[in-house]
Order: sequence, then structure tokens, then C-alpha cells
Amino acid sequence: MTLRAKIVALVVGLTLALLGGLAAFLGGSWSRWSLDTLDAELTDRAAGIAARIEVKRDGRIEMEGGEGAPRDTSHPVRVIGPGGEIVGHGTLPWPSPESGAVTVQGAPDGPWRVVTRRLPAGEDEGGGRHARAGVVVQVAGQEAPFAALGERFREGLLAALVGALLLGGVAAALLAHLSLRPLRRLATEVESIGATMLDRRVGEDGLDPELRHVARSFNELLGRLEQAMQRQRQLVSRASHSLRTPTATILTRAEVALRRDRSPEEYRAALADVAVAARESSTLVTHLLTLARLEEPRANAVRQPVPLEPLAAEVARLLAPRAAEAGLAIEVDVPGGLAVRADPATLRELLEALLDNALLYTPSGGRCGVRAEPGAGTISLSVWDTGPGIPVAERGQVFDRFFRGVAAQGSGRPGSGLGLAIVKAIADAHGARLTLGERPGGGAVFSVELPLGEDGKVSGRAQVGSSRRGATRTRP
Amino acid sequence: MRILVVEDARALARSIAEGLSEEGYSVDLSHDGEEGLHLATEIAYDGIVLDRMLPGLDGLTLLRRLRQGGRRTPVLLLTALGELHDRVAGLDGGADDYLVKPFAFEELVSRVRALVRRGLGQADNRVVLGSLELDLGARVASVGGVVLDLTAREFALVELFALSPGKTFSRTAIAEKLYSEEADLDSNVIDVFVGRVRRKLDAAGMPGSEVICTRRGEGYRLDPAAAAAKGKR
Repeated sequence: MTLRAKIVALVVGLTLALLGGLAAFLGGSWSRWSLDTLDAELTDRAAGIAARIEVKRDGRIEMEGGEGAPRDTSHPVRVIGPGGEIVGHGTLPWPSPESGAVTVQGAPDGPWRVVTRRLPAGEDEGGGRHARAGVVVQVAGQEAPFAALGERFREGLLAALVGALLLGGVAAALLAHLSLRPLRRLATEVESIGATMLDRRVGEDGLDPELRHVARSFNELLGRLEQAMQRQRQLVSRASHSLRTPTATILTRAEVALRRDRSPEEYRAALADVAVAARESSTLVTHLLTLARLEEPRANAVRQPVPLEPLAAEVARLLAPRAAEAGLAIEVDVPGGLAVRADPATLRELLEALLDNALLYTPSGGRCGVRAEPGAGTISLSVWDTGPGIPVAERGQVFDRFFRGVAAQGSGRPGSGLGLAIVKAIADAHGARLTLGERPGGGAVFSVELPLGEDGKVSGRAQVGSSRRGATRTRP
Repeated sequence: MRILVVEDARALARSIAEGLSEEGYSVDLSHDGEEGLHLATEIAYDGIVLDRMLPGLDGLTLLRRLRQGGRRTPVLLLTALGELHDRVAGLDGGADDYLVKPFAFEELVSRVRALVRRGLGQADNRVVLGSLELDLGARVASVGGVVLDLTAREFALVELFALSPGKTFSRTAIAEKLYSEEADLDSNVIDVFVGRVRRKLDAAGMPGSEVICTRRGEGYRLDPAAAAAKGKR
């Protein structure tokens, strides 16, 4: 149902309810008033007739003017004497003498109103006249003329009602049209803004306050969209740069090498460069896909107790060859029995990415490691290294996609600039606090605070005192 | 011809430098913007291959500062950003040409060649001085139709003289154009080198020491009159 239809329906409905109620009330009042009027007239007549009645000594009733008094056929009369003698004219299904004013049906010419009056006692003025107490006078009048009038009145009301409804409906439609016009203009304006024109804004001038509010909300939304798109564009152009550079290296290195005959050593050097660049671009693609997967709303939905010690040991084992290559030792210091509530697959990716980062930037001969410490309801899982650490100025940005610190850029190491962004995405998905600090004695420490797994609580605390028991050590 | 390559991806920079050296250019390498700007300001390069995204000082800023400093060295901008507005920004920033990564190396070479040539006011790849003819594209020199057997660097020397006929080059200037910064040269290397080129010209029937004549205390120059005179013979 359109807004316009709703407005019209509302106005018509309200008009119908108000005027219909009024008409019903007036119609009812009319019926009551017409009956009251008829009753009053009949009562008058009854009084007139009563005044003309004479009750003879023998109990007979005599009316002034005698039997020859003109008979008013439109107002039949019946008089019942004290002795049960009935005088009158007109044939009607007369009601009982005990009734007041009633309507009788059954007469051939429609319903009749009958007023019954029982003359009270003590109205005898003496002088040959006997008391008329107990005499009952009934006067009838046809309801039809009043009913016809009432019918006309109701017809008039109905016509007025229909007129008011039509007028109200048209007025409502017009009103809706007029008040929706600026809204339509707004819609047209908003529709004309394509994805590439997010710097445009909807005009707020000349609008009613309510619509100005809508327009402003639209503009704020456009602003947010524009920013998001800009961030997206920056990301795409950075991703494009990060992908194209290793590809350019592979292509150029190969093409230059193939331009002439070379010694095996030269070919080997070229192939080594090609391999490094290919590995770099493959890592980048993997990281980009990981991030895209983590962005899906349903990713990270799994939550289950994850025992930390086996996880850390496994990741350390996996990265041991890389550590050996880099001349580094990975130390695992995770008490057995500790468990966190997490998605085991992404938690593993987080640990891998953090250790990978430590392996990339810690100079040969250094150390790095994983630690887990239980806290109040949480476990702090951290990865440390003896590398150069991360300058305070860069700490706010290290988790941004494609951000590479000055040291990382200068190092010539093939980081994708996405590893820590992946760490952040996983920590965020777990609602875990991710902090970056300095290791006493130099180096960086990344810590994630994860909620305790169900079975981690008791055994975890019990293990604290002898935490080294679960520690494993991987030497290059 | 001396080229500066400013590119932070080391393996890529290395292979560009290697390929260009094999084309007879002497190439200097720099991996960051600050150093690149310093080199480009200090040394009169014949062309610069500049990466757009650099650590420290980015390529566009480097280019702008270079132009503000009055250096007109032709610049080929390398970029991984292929969008139209990036090209426009690069060309507006004072780049002479634009190449999107990844590129075919042949294309880079021909663009660098065209860049250097345009920088010297040379419209096409053919340079003719009397009977001496140079094909800058094919890197071949010939005298009266007979192709000279020149090494890449020897050709570069002839090219240097031929593109500025009559201009005198000091030994230092020649060394700068033919050798990259790392080369450690004896003072008489250039003399020996010029001597070798002269002998090759002689062998082709062109009096080498007249065409490339010695200006005592100053250096060497190519005498266009001598080259033309011998050409008429």
C-alpha cells in the first residue's frame, strides 16, 4: 500500500467514522423526537377527548357532541368505560389498557402509535356528572408521515456523508501528492547519484524540516559511503601495487636473462630472483584470500575449547624449517592444560601469522616465542621476539592493511603487509583484545586476550606453578 | 648515455639495470626516493627510470622537486597503478612517459631510447653525419654502408659525439656518460677507449683522429665538417 493510499484511506476512514457517527446519532435522535412529538399530539387529543366524555349514572359513556360527532379517521379513538363498555371508532389491534405509548403493528396501513390514558380519580366537578375515574382513552396516530420525513432526513444525511467522503478523499489525495512532491524530488536526486559520484550531495535547501532531516541523513550516509569507497580504492590500488611489483620482477628478470646466452651462474641467480618474487606474490594472494574469507560474516562462527599447548607446539613445529633458514630459535612456553574458547582454525592462523612476522623481522641469531598466561577469566597468548621492535609512532598503523613500517621497507624482506591485518581481523572476530608492546630487553610482544575454555579453568590454575613442564623448545 | 633507475623492488631494479647496461647504457641504481633525488640533482643523467611508489620520498614528489630544482632530465615513470587518473597525475607531475608494471622489457628499452633521444632533440633513430650513419634503435654504426664492429660501450661513445656534433666533452664528462658510478676509472682509460674507436673508424675508411679530434687540455669532440668531407669522397 503506498503512502498516498494510506493517507487517503486514513482521511476517508476518519471522515466516515466521524460523520457516520454523527448521522447515526442524528437519525436516532430524529426517531426519538418524532415519536415524542407524535406522542405529545396524541396525548393532547386524548386529553381533548377525555374532556368531552361524560359517564352516565348507569355507567354508560357519552361523548359531548354525541354519536354524531365527526369522526377523525386519521386518529382512531377507543374509550373504555369503567364498566368495560367500549366506545370508539376505527379498527386497530388495540393494545391493552395497561400500556402507555406503544407502537402497534399488524394494521394494513403500517404501524400505528397508540397513546393510552387512564383518567385519574377526583376529577369530578360534581353537578350531575359522575366521576370518570377508571375511564381509559386510547388515541392512535399513524407513524408513516413521520417515518417518511425521517427517511428523507436520513437520505439527506447519507448524501452529505457520501459528499464529505468524496471531498475528503480527493483533498487527502491532493494533500498527499503535494506533501510527497519534495520527497519524490529527493528520491530522483538520490537515484541520480551513481557509485562513481559519491562526492555529490542532495540539496537541503527549500525542504520542510522533516525532509531536511531526511536529506541530511542521506548526505551523511553518502559521506560515509564515500569514505568507505575511498578506503576500498586505496586498498585495491595498494593490492594492485603489491601484486604487480613481484609480477614485474618475475617478467623482467626472466626477459632480461633470456636476451642472450649466459653462464649457468647467471641463470641460477635469475631463477633465484624469480623464485623469491613468485613466492612473494603467492604469499600475497594467499593473504588477500584469507582476509576476504575472514570478512565473511559467518567466518569465525565456531567457538570451542582449544587446548593451547598442542596448538602452539604444532605451529612451532610447522615453522621450524623457516626458523632454521632465518637462523632463529622458536621457544614455546605454554603450560599444559590451558584452553581458550575460540575457533581452532583461525586461532592457528593468528598464531602462525604472529610467528611469521617475528621470523621475518628478527635478525639472524635472535629468538622468538609463544607464551600463555592465565588471567582473570582470560588467557593472554603472546608472541615475542628479540628483533628491533616497533617504533611507538608506527604502533597505531601496524595492523592496517599493506602498512609496512620504515624498518620493514628498508629490510628488503618480502612481507605482504597483510600478516598483522589478518591477526587483527581474527582477534576482532573473537572479540579479543590485541595489544602490542615492548619486550624487556628489546623486541616486540603481540598479545591477544582470549576467554578461558571450559576445561581450561581448573587445570590451568593448577599448572601455573609448574608451567615450564609443558614447555617445548625448537632449535634450528 | 647515462641512466638513473630509482626502484625499491631490488630484484626488479637489478634486472632493469642489467638489461639497460647490456643495451650500452651506463646505469646507476637507487632504492629510495631521497637518494634518488640527490643523484638526479647532482648528476646530468640522460634519462631517469622512476618508480612511483618508493619508501621515504615517493616518485611523484621526487619528480616535482627535481623539476622545481630546474632539472629537465627526461623521466620515465614506472607504476603499478594502472588507472587513468594515475597516468594523468604522473604526466602532470612532469613525467615524459609512463609505463605500467608489469611491462615487457623490450618496451621499456624502446621507451628509454625514445626518451633519451627526445631529450637530445633527436626526432628519430637515424643519425647521419656524412658517410657516418648511426641506427640508435639497432645500436649499429656504419661508414658508407659498411657496418662497424663496435662494442656496446664503443657505440655509446660514438652516439654521445654524434648526438652533439661539434660539442667538446671532457674526459670526466665522457666517463660520466659511459660508466656508472661504481666504476673506478684510471685517468687514461678514456684516452685508450677513444683510441680504439678511432682505429675502428680508420679501418672503415674514415680518418678517426680527424673525425674525433683532440682539443688539448679540454677533451674530445666530433668534427662534423671532417665527417661530411670524408663522406663526399
